[in-house]
Parts: sequence; C-alpha cells; structure tokens
Amino acid sequence: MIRAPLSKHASTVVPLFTLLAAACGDVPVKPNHFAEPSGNVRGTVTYTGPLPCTQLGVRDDGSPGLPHVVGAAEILVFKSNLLPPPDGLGRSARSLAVVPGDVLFSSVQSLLPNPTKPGEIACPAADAPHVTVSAEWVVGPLPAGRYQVRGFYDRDGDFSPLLKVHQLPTAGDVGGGALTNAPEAALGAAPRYATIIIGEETSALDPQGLPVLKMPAAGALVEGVSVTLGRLLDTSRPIAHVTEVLDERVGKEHVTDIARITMPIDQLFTTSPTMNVAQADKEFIRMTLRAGLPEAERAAALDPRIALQGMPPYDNFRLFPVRDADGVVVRTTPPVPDTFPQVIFARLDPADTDRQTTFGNPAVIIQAVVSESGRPISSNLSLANATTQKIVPSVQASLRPSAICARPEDPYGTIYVVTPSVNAIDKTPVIADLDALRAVLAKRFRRPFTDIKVLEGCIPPGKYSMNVVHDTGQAWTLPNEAGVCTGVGGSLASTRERPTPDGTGCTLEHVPGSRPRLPSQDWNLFVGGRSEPGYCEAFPLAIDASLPSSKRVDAAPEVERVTSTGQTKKFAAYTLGIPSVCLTTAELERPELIAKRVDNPWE
Amino acid sequence: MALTALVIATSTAHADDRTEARKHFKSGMELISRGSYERGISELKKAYEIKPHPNVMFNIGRAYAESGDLENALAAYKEYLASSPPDADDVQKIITRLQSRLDRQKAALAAAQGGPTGPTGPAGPTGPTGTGPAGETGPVGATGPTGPTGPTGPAQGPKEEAVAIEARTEDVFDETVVTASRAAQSPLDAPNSTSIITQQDIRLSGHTKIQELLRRLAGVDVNVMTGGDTEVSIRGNNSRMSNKTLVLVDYRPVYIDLLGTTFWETLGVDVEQIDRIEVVRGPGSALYGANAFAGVINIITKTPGEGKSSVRAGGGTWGSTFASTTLTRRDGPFAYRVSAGYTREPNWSREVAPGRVDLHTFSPDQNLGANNSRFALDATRRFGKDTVMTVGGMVSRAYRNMQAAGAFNEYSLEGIMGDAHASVVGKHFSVRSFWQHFDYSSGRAQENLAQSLDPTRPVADVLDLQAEYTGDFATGPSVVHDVHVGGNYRYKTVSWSYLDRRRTERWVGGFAQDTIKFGKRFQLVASGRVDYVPYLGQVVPSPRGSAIYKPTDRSALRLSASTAYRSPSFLEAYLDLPLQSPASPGAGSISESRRSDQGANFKLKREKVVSVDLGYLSQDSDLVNFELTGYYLQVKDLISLAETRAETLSTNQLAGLDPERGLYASAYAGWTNQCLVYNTFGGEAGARVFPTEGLDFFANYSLNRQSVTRPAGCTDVENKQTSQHKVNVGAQFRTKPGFDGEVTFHFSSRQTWAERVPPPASEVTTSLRWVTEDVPAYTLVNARIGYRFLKNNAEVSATAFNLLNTQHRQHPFGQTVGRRFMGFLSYKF
Repeated sequence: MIRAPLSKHASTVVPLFTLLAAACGDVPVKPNHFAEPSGNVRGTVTYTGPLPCTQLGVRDDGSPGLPHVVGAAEILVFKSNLLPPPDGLGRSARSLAVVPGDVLFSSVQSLLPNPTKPGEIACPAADAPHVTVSAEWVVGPLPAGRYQVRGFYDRDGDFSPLLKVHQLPTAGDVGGGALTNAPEAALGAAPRYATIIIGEETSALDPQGLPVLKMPAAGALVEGVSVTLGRLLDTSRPIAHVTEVLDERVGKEHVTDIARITMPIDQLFTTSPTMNVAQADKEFIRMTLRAGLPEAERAAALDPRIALQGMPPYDNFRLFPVRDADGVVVRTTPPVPDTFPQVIFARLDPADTDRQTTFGNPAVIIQAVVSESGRPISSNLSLANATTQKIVPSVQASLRPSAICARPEDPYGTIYVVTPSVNAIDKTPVIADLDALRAVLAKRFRRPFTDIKVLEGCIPPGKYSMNVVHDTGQAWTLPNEAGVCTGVGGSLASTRERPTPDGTGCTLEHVPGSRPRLPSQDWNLFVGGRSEPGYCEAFPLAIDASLPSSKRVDAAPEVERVTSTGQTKKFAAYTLGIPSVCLTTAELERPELIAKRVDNPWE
Repeated sequence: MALTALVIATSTAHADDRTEARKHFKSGMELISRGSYERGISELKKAYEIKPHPNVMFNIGRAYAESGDLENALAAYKEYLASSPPDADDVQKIITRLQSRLDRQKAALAAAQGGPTGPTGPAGPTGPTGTGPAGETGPVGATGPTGPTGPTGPAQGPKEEAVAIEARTEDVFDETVVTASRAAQSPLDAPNSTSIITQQDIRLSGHTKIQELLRRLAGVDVNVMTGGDTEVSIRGNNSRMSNKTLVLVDYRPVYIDLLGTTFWETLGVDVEQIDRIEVVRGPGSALYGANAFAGVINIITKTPGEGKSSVRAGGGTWGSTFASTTLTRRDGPFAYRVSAGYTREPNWSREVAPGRVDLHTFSPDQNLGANNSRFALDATRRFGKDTVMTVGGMVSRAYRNMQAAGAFNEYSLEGIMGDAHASVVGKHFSVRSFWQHFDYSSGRAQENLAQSLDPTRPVADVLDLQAEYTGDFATGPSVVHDVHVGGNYRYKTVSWSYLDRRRTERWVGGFAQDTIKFGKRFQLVASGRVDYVPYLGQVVPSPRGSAIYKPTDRSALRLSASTAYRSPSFLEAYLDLPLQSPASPGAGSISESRRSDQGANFKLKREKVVSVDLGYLSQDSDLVNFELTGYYLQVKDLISLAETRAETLSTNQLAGLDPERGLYASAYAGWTNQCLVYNTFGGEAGARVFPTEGLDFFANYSLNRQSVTRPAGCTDVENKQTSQHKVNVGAQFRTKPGFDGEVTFHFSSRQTWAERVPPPASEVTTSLRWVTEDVPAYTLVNARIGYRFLKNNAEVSATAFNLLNTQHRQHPFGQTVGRRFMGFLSYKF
C-alpha cells in the first residue's frame, strides 16, 4: 500500500537521501588550544638500593588504613640549556613524573616491612640486602627541544615540588638519571646525562650550531628511556647559616651585624688581586658559613612540616676543587680555583616580597670565592692541588665585585659579566685576561664564546639570596621558607603566613597553632650604596674614554623591551650606571625604584 | 517573497493550527447557539480536522442531535466515546437513548410508509418539547443548547431516563500552561512570564535537539559548546554545565544533582514524544524549590493514547542520525505509549587530528558529539471521571562530549540514565513519585599521554515522593481562592571518586499557593516554599507574589516579585579531587570543597536571586498576540572556581603525595562564592502574527543590561557572558497540498566570557587564572521544508542548520559551529 505513493514521490525522496549518504565523514579539525601537539618521554626507571620503609595509613576515624611504601621515584626533566646548579641557571624542572613506591616496589612486596599501628613507619634492617626493581613512567607535555632526565628515589618521603626546603634529594635518597655512563656512575663517577631530543630536526641551525627542532603535527613520543637510580646519597643538602662577616676594606670596621651585610654597587679593588694577593685577601667582603643549623634551632627543625637534616652527622661541608670533564681544575678568575661547595648569590626579584625567587628574570648572580679560611685567594691556591675532599664544618664565602646577568629562559641569549671596572683603582687589571674569562663562562653556561660579553657597570642593587651547591646537585638557599613567613605578597589572606609576636613561628589563617620559624634561615645579602658618589652615573662615559683599546669591554647594546602596558620601548643601555640587561622590565620603566634601592638597600 | 507566493498560490492554507482551530471552534459554537446547525457543525468539523479534540466531537454530536440528525449524532458520540472520556458512562446512556429513538423513528417511518416496523417497534409519542428542533422528544443528552436558544427541559419520552450533559463550551483550543502554577491555566493568569514551544513549532522547525527549539524564545540563552553539549539558561548566566534552570519532564526534574546541570542530549524522550515545552522565565523556587533559579523548563509529553503512532528517521551531515518510533494506544480507561529512539550528534569540530602519538582519548571516535539509544514507556489508567494513575519509565544509554569546568575542558561521559515514575492525580489530590538512576563512566575527552584522563564512574540515585492538594473556595461574593498545598521528600545518594566519600542527602520541602480572584479583572497570587537543604543545614524560604490585572478578557498586566536559590551541587559541595598540573604529571593541586588547608570546615553559600518582573500580554486579536516584559534581577553569591592557594610550610604534608596516583598536591583549589553582585535590567518583546491562513510570523527581542556592585576588597572578574541584544525572527507556513516549513533568523550580540582555567602546559605552575575572551556577535539562519503525502500520514523533509554557514563559536572554548543538513522521512499509523 505504501509503495505506490512512495514511488509517486520518489523524485523528492531519492535526491534527499542521496545527499545524505554523501554527507558523512570526519568533522573538521579546529583546535581550541586544549590539545596542541607536544612531546612525551616514556621509559623505565630501575632502582638498585636498599628496601624502602613502609607506613600504615590512618583513616579519618583513626583506624588503620592501607599500608604504603614511603616515598616515590621522582623523574625530573630539564631543558639541556636550563640545567639546575651547578650546571646551569635552571630554576626548576620543566616537568616531573612520579612513580609511587607502591608501584616501584610491587614486585618485592613480600620483602617489605610491615607496620602494625596506624601511622607507624617500619623500615628494613640496616643489613637488609639491596634490591633491584623497575617500573614504567611517562612525562610530558614537553615542547620541542633537547632535554636531560634526572631523578632520585625519595626514601624518606620528604620531597615536595613546591617548597624550596623540600624539593631536592636529601641524604639517604638514591640518585641517578638517564645516563650514558650508568655503570660507572653507580661506582661513584660523575654522572653523564643523555640528551633526549623531542621534535623533528629542521635544516635551520641555532646559535650553537645545532639543528633547530620543531614539533611534528602528530606530536612526539620518545620511548625506551632508561632511568637508573643507584647512587645512594650520603650527603645532606648543604644546609647552612651565616655566623660571621669580615670586611677589612680600607676605612671599614669589622662587621658583626650579619643581618645587614652590604656590598656597594661600585665596589672596586685598590689593586689587582692577582698582583697583590695579600692585599686582595683583605679587599673581599667575606662571610663564614656554618654547615647545618644553629644548636638553638635544631629541635624546631624536627617539626614534621620542616624536617631538615641540619644536625649531626649532616653538619659538615666537603670542600674540593671543581674539575671539568677532563679533570682540569676550573678557574673562573685565574689562578683561583673554583670549588665545591659553590656559593652563588642571586638577585631576588624586587617584586618578590617573600624573597623566595631562585633566579629572577634576568638572573643576576654573584659567584663567591669559597675557601676554608678567611684568605680567599691565598688559601685556595693550594686547594687546587687537593686530590681528596676536605671535610670542614664551615667555609668562607668572599664576594666578587662582579655579577653575571643572563636570561635563563632564553637559551640563546647573551650572558653578560658586569663589573664596576676591569681595572683596580691603581689602574692595574682586575681581569687579566678577558678572553680566558669568556672561555670559562662559555663552557660553563653552554654558550658560544661570542655570546659571553663583559660590561663595565655597577652591580644591580637589591637583595640577593645565597645558594650553596654541592657537586651532587644538592643545594640550599637562604632565605627559605623555614626562616620566612611566606605569602606576604599574595592576594589571598588564606595563604599569607604571619609571624608570631615573638618571631619564633608563623601562623596561617584557619590553621590552628603555628609552625616554627628558623631565624638563621632568614638571611639575605644587600647590594647597595656607593663607595664614590657619582661613580656609577658617570660610568658609561668612562668606557670609551679611559680604556685602552686592548682592554675595552664590549659595548652594551640599546635594549628594546615590551613594557607591562604592551608597548615596545627602547631603553638606555645603562640606568644609573647599571647595565639594562641586568634589570627587570619594571625597573627599566621606573628607574626611580633603582635609585631608591641604591640609597637604602635595606628597604 | 517566495514563501508568500507559495502560500498565496495554494488554494487553502492553514495558519497556526491552534489559533485557526480555535477560530473555527468559536465560530461554530456561535452559529450553533443561534440555531445555524449546518454551518456551525461545518465549522466544528474544520476545527476538529485541524486539531482533533474529543470535546469538539462531543459538540458536533450534540449539535446533530439538536438538529434532529440522529444518525450523525450517534456517529459523532461514538467517535467521542472512542477517546475513552471520563464521562463515558453518561455518553453511553445518551447513545442508547438516541439509538432507541432512531429505531423508533425508523419504525414510525416504516409504519407510515406501510413497510416493516423495524427492530424496535413503533415510534413513541411525538411532540417536541422546549425549543428544540424538529424531532420526537426534543434534544436528547443535553440540557439544551447554550446561548439564545435557551434551556430545554429534559427529554420527555416515556420510559426515558433524563441524561443531562452540558455542551462543552470551554475553549479547548485556548493556550494553556501548567508550569507556572503547577496547574492548568491561561498564560494570562500565570504569575510568571511563560512561553510555549508547540507541537507545530517542533514539527515545522525540523529540530531534533530540544535546546535549539528553545533558542527561538525571548529571554532564553542557548550556547553550543560541542556537538554533544548545548547549554541553556534564562535571562543570562549561561555557562559551561549550565546550572540555573530547572528542567522537568512531566514535572519530574531531570537536573543532574551531582553536577548541577541538565544532560539534554541523553534524555529518555525526544521531540517526537513532546506535546509542548513550557518555559517559565524568572525565578521558580516558590513552587519548585532549589535550582529553579533563572526559570523552569517543563517538557510535557503527549498523553498516552493521544494521537497516532509514528516512526521517523533521518540522517545528515557528518553522520547525524535521528530515529524515533512511538506506539500509542487507548483501550477504554487504559492507555499506553511506548517509544524508542536513537540519535547521533557529531561534533561540530574536533580538537584532535587523527594520528596523534602524544595523546590518549576517552572515545576512539573523535567525530562523535553525542549518541543516545533510548526507550520510554508510559501507561495510564483512568478511575472514574477525575482520577488518573500513571506508571512509566524511561532509560537511555548515551555518550556525550561536553565542556566541563575549570581544568576540565572537553569531557566525555558514557553510561545509563533512567527513571521510573508513578502518579495518581485526582481532582483535588495528587501523589507522585519517581526514582532516577544515573550511572556513567567519564573522563577528559583527550589528554597528553603523561596526563591522566581522570577516569571515574559517578553513580547517583534520587527517590522523590510528593503530594499535593488543590481546591477552591470563596470568601466573599466575588472573592475566590484557588489553593495549592504540597510537600515532598527527596532522597539523593551519590557514589563518585571525585567526591570525598559517598554522599547522601535527604531533602524535605513544602509549598503553598493561593490565587485570589477579585472578580473577573484582578487577582493576586501568593506563593511560597520552604526547603531543608542538607548541605547548608538550613531551611530556605522562597516567597513569590504576583498581582494580575486584566483590562480585557484576553489581555493581562502582571507585576511579580520573587526569590530563588541554587544550592551547591554534589560536585561543588563535596569535591575532593587531586588534579595534575598541565605541565607536570607528578605535581598538581588538590581540588576540594571543604578546604583542608583552612581547617576543613569551609561551606559554600547558596546562590541567590531576587527578581521583579512587569509584563503585559495581549491575545485580544486573532491576528496578533504580543507580550512585553521588563525585569530586574539581582544575583549574588554565584559559585565559581576559587583562586588557587599555594602550599606553604604551614600546610606542608596536608595533601602531600597521593600514593595511588603518584601526584604531589602542592596547592589547593575548589569553589568559592563570588563577592560581585550582578544587577540586570532586561526586557523581552515578542509577537506572533497570523496575517493569513497558512502563514505565521514570529519575532522577539531580548535586552539584557548587566552591571555589578563591587564590595570593597572584591577582586572578582566580572562575567559578561550574556548577549545584551538577541533577536529572533521566523516564519512558518503550511499548505493544503502538503508543503510546509519554517525559516528562522537568530542574532546574538557579542559576549565576553570570564573563565577560570588552568595555565597552559608551557608554564610550570598549577594556579588557575582568569581568562577573559570575547565571543563575537553571530547570526544563525535555520530552515526546513517538508512535504506531506499519504493523507498527511507520511512526510519527507529537509532541514538546514546555520544555512549561511557562518563559522563561529558560541563559547570561547566551544567548537566551531558550521552548517549542517538533515533529511527525514516519517510515517504515522
């Protein structure tokens, strides 16, 4: 009955369904930036070391929960040109993957200790055999680039990626990474990290002569990366505090107020340090760093929120010269050898009221000369020949009157060495061989020689943190959260810690009680004031006029910056005698801020 | 022009079916009352043909009887009886008596002609009574025709039992709404602005997506997010997972309490089962409680046994598919409707190209926006004249790709949703209950390989019991009260890994409404409801008051003031979910409602709205209806994502490492109440014009002007996600030869959305941030043309959505909307 009418109207129906049949297919791809192509690295982590501890969980009602292995394998991915100290100026890992201990040790579950009470931690016997276990991991998304993968197993479970006092391995953790010399590194050799390439190589070359990488439209996946964790760290992070300051510069008194150590922005040597070592030893501002925490703070440091290894047996430094891959002692300023621990002062972002910036943008760092005694040059000359590590309770950190300015986020950017003068007051050269200095820095920062430039200019004023760095990559920074009530600059009252009236703790809204505050960890260096009024302001004129051509430093370029209002402006190469490349965008827009900081660095 | 020409070229055409049927009905009843039976019956038949209604058939039978045409009267009454009316017993008596008389007439006629006397013997005594037309005993089955013909006495025939049934003079084609007061009433009497999507709108538009049907209404905001997610709100505040409009299906809320939104795409009913959609603009908590914040949308399905069974199927662009079949039957007091259907909605655009090696996806089919396989059953049993019992249920198995909130952009869900319901509705009492079940697997639609899709499986159940009393009484010569009093108990339970633990809530609420009519022209409506909200631990009152003045019988001026609230959804109230940083799979934040970093005692406040609404509705003319409305809304305590709170040493180890997920939570996120107070002045103007039979025009304009009051210290970012201007214009035509269709034009002015989103993967941070982005103004032209054949039982049609292919987004993160075609074939039986 239906057929006839349908055929009668077939002229309408058939074309319609013909149209529909042709209408199927894929919908158009129109990304909304939710899933842009990116790179991933996937591999296995193999752990060789002692068994971990196990903790029994606690439910809300206090009853026993599930047992969990304490800690996790932390897989950290760094850009090859933004490595953490001592290898670079990287502030933090580009990405982090975590393999929980429950997963990593699932194959040896029967060997794990069994806690019985809620919250109890049970650890294996000291002589328990080591185990080898492995698990898979994947990390991403990563932009196109070259990377290194480093890692460690956090055996004590105190790692926290955000808090500076907890974001690096401590003694007892097991370190490693994706290594090209894993067997040798397990026996104590310096680890050599594999370079992992994400993206397709193009025909273009970057300033370092390497092919520029681009991300394929389908994304990238690098598989089969093996991370080996086998180096049991027997050193803690180089927790330190300042106990004494020496300033024997002409006309200065012996400084005792360690809370206000100040270096002038135009600090000059009276004579060449290399030509008069005895005199130069007195011309550095020197401070004594004591390893660990002061006796009075050790009990507070046991608070589980702080939990620092700042007490015996972790209250010593290991002092030894830095050697390059060929075993040659590195000398940034010959003939003085560079040493471990390194002490690096880094300018805190002036806008960071919490003073927790690791490396600002630009990073402005002052590398100290580290020595065992108060004679930074003379005592260190002999250290260059040391073949063993020297265990010392404290070291001296002497301030070099020069800064390195770089933009860590710009892998190909120029690195500037800024010093008030390449000559001492008596016209003798402070930097005897500019090219040698550039060569050392080019190697250290993995930049072409031509990208290392030396400028005469005053040192940027402001507050500087102190970073103590071990050869293991373990580092410690002053000031840190243990000494500072943080969140002061945040917009949220709920994350703003406030000091208790007696200064011994910090309180947080809604959180009962207070947490301890360690005053020794609230310390920073000040750079400010002038030795000679007008020196810095007049300085740009002095470059061309006074220097012989053989000693003339590179001219600072005119700087073009995008301001906070989105405008592109050109800024003078120097602001109050300070090279623009060392200043933040906010400072370039408002030079009066710098003047204020020079006049009163303690503000 | 072409449309007009087409209409003019057809000899007979049909305007808006309800309006036209109403016109014929009124004309017919008027003619009958004047004794012009033939013309009157003809008019009633036209009305019945356009829009069948049992009462019309009853009146046809009655008019035939009055005119003495007993054979046709019997036929009409029998057809009326076939609809199983509540007065079936009375009508059966009429039929018996009419048949008896007819037999006597025939016998008398035969006797007069000397023929056989017929089966029932000789005719009885003759002689008209009253003023009835020629006949033996005057009208039967009626107390007499209404109007000037005056009353007639009861049937005088010997041994005949008088059966008194009055003519059905009520305007059965008058527009009726049920949602604004939980009872049938004219929109002129409704205490809120109410709009209706009719069956004609549904059929002529060709839309299979309910939300797109709603776009044509003034004051309704519709935003396409993905192919499986089109969000709806009323008078502003539309959003991802829109949560301020209460959506009902036959009074049963389909609001997903655990998310605080409506899954339009996964409902167990489709447009083929819908009788009409009522949209109440403005707060509705006074009767419906929580979440009727911006308004109420009530999807009213066809009554079981009403109309014909049908099957409809269609397909179109990118695999768009729609299939629906409905079987409906009535057998005496029992009726049922069974429906089943399947829908496939493709995405408008896809985020992920084929062949990506860096991603994993929830669904292997990135073209798929939504699909829905559904089944529904409703059965009714009538008891006596006024009591109807209904039992039924619906279930859908569906997939949908939606835009979620915050860190979740495209988000996919697949699972089962259904309900079972039962009700007994009498003249004064009603008892209703339903049980809803929700069981979905879900996760992010796509994510980097190192990032989790955050897969989960929310399972939720809701059990609701409600009872209501309706009655009226007078307190004076012209003061009549119409009272509704009711209460309900609702049990909700949710098991979901995104929440801190299994959560159960027990709600209790009660409401009352008194409509006080002072004569014909003026009435006051006082409504109020109280609800115990378990999360808040509070009893929340929601008052409403309206004053309605009717200058004429068919126009009304209304002033209303009301309040409403939205309580935090389960997701907002009990969230506890560690979330990875987009840049770092091993680090992230813990999103939780209770804020363990602040003592774990934090509670959200409910969202609040206060509304004042002044409206004028005119239905005086048969050529044009129009409505003008102005309103003011004050909205505060809007719930939005909170600013991320970074971990400090004071909170260290509160979150720490999640040993199961391998995630360090070093920041805290969650929800907060905004401190901004939004003030909106708006208006809606709409008209529907019927210039000639077969052609309707409708047009409306919506204005939404928003400003904010910013308390001291408030740093919230203002959201201007509502178009200040919206325009809809449309034309519908129907022709006797079978062609019909519709063309609509929609314009939305620019919107500016403020969304709190995670940082891009290029940044190593976990803090959510505000992103403010414009959605430029856009236009949509939709069209449909259809052709009916096989005595109007079959139809072939084609629809075009966004005919002009204006490529646009309706949300900053939404998919790019393009053009889409579909073709359909349907058949009624």
